[in-house]
Amino acid sequence: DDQTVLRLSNWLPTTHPIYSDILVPWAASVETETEGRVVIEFLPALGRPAAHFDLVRDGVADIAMSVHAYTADRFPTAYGVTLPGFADDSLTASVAYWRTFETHFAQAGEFRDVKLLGLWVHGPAYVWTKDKAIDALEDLEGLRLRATGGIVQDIAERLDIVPQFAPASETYELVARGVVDGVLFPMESVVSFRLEPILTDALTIPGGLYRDSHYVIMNSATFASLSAEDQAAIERVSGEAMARLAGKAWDNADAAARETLEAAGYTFTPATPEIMAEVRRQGDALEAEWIARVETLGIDGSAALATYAEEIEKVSGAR
Amino acid sequence: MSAALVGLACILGLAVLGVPIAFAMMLVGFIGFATVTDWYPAMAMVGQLAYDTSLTYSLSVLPLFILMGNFITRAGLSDDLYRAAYAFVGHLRGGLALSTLISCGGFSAVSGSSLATAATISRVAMPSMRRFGYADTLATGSIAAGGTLGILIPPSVVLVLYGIMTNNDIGQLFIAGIVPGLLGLLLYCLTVQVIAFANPEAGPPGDRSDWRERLAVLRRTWGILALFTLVIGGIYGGLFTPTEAAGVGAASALLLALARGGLSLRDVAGILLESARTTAMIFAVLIGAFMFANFINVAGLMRDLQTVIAALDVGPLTVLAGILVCYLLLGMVLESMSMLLLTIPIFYPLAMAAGFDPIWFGIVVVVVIEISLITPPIGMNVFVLRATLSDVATTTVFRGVLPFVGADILRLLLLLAAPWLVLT
Amino acid sequence: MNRALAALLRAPLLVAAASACLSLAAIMTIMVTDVIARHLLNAPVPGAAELIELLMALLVFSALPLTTLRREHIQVDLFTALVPISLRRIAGMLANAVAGAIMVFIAWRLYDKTVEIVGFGDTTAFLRLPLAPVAGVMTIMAALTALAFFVNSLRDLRPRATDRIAEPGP
Ligand code: NA
Ligand code: NA
Repeated sequence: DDQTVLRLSNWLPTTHPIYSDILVPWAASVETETEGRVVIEFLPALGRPAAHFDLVRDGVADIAMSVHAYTADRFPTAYGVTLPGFADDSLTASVAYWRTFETHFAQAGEFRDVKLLGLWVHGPAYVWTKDKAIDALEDLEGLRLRATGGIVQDIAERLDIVPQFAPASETYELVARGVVDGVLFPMESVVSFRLEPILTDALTIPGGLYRDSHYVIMNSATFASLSAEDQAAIERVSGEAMARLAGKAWDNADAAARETLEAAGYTFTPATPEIMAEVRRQGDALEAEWIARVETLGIDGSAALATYAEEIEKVSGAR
Repeated sequence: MSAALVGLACILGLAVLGVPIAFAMMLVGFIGFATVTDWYPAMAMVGQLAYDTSLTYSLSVLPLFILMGNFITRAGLSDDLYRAAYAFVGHLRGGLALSTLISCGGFSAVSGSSLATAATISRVAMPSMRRFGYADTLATGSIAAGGTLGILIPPSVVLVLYGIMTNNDIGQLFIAGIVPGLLGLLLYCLTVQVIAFANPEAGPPGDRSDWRERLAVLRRTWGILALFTLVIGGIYGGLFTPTEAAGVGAASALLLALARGGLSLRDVAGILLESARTTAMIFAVLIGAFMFANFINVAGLMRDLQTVIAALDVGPLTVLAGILVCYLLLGMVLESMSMLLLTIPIFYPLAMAAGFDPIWFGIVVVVVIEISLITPPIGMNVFVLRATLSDVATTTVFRGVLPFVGADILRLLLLLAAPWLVLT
Repeated sequence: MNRALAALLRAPLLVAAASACLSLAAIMTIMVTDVIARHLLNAPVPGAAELIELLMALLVFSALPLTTLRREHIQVDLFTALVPISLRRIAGMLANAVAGAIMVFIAWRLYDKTVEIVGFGDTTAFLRLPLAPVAGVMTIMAALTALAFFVNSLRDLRPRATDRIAEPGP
């Protein structure tokens, strides 16, 4: 028959909202929009999460979702939108990120070897601890928190937190055994990593301590092999539409997680003005470093972040 | 569906011609992937998996558990274990065979491998059974069968591989293996009793020890007990993660071996090198298995299987029975670990689609794999014994393990009838 | 010719053996230090998990040529056990040659991967250690493994003449 089946290599558990609330509905909309001519088949991971850019570029899989920070050296521009502050949700930041990418970052050519289908950022990340409320800046000092690389490591170190690097699969064990004092996570991840019974406190930071960025890509040759009609159909449900879908899904997941955690009796402590000032100061320093870094690529970082902030305003105004 | 079966047949064909099974899986995985997609993606897939597979933190449990077992073997703890078991049950009918089984069970608690268990215990158990005039069938049968306990009682290399391939919690799998492992030990001991009562000539009793002697030898086994408590207790007491437990276990085993004396720096290097070589062997199979699994996945096997099951309209127990029969048949001709890695991409999704618990299924699979270790014509534990005992015929050993295979089948049926025996 | 081959392989095999032993010892040491330092000093080894990942790759690939030379790979010798020795020798020669060819291919794929990693300047996420040297060692060791298979193949063909190539012991 004339149906095209595209293989999506999925390394996430099928209970994860990225799978169930972003990738699956998006795949369904591709099928609807192409009137059934293009179908997306989900396969178990064909490689490690960090390998998925290469897997799609080389045609091992047709489509995949991955995380910029896993191969941070290849995506210097994404760091800018993960900096502290900016937005209290995922929807506005995700849509703004897509628009900022198109106007400022695309020219860096980070995705030139693949067809970029979508980008988003997750909700604001906070500090999660066990039996230890963070009431003052000093409380952060020497706190051992499970962290990943990139922005998470940078902002943690600048706040005198001791980041303990660990693969995602080890997170639960580390927290449960008290190897770390807590984690740096968005609301949703505390629940999806099953940490809800073993943590108790959240330090909430307006605008978030950071937000991680994710992308969805398709193999270039695969995309080129589709009819112009189907290409247009896929583009209609991707790009900004995908950013919107993903942003809504993250916001829903964060809200649901907040309800669960509140029901579990979590204490949410808003950051003190003193902590906020320090987060802003260190965020500004990281921003300056990043602007200098992307300048060598011919990207005007400060203009890009201005656009990012403007678009966040616009989207939130339109809502 | 047919692509997967053709691929499986090709691997078996290459293996029979003498190509190491790891490399047969790589070749078939590559060519199969290329026929479904294209040559360029297949080449990229091979490069990516060869590069990525070993760069995995959680897989470090494999070399470390292997290292722990090798240090323990070198420390001579198996001798003490056997002597202690003998002091307690040696005077019973078939007592030396019982001592063999119990020391196999004890050694399993610090060894991740069945071959290592069988090889280590045979060194001490075989001479004493010879001395008391045990039938070769009962003597070798109890060692070969007792050795299989090595992969069910934690730690277990095979359970680690199952956890890695199917994304299940290794700590949970370890706990789940304890009761079925002890049940296996119990059924093996009953088997020996039946044999010894039916034919007292086959397994005469040994000397009786008094309580003072018993306590004296029991005290010498504290090392194994301490190690097992440290590793398993450490995981569940919250001292460290299952991955770290392997590192702590290996280091403690080294200290134990050093404390017992007679271990030079050269010996330590030799044990490190031996463990490294075994690790490389396992990873070659693992890389091959991942390549083959990728071919199976892009060939759309899961989709086809679901269609077939729906069309056949069979219940989950029929599906499970089919899987187990396949394992028993494959287990006759395939080496156990490569069989697990080869079949998991096909059978695991099938069992999950039929609604079985992943941990329980893992334990059941390991029990059938234990059987494969002692069934002819390829029974690795039997071969290990043959390598250490040059004057016993292979057929004698296979005849000797037959009653134990019966005990294993009985255990399998018990696990099916009473799934709660597996703590999930 | 055989003497030359033996001399040629001696040094790389020794390096491989040393690398495998040291990597395994380092993995164990880092893990134990991490656990102890965390409990006693409240200070884990920074990036221990990343170091262990890199050492795992070194361990596996350094040991692979030695495993191969000692014929410790899992094999089904059902057929070969049933046929006469001359036929068995030919089968062994062919099987090792096939496995050697597969390893040549793997080494080539790893070489391409290494070039790509050098091009991107890829580093680990946390300690920012460069990945290129590890990929390079994997490539070289894969090539050495291919060579080991060919040596085995030669040995099956002429059992005595190639005995000189001894595996490095501890
Ligand atoms: Na064991
Ligand atoms: Na068998």
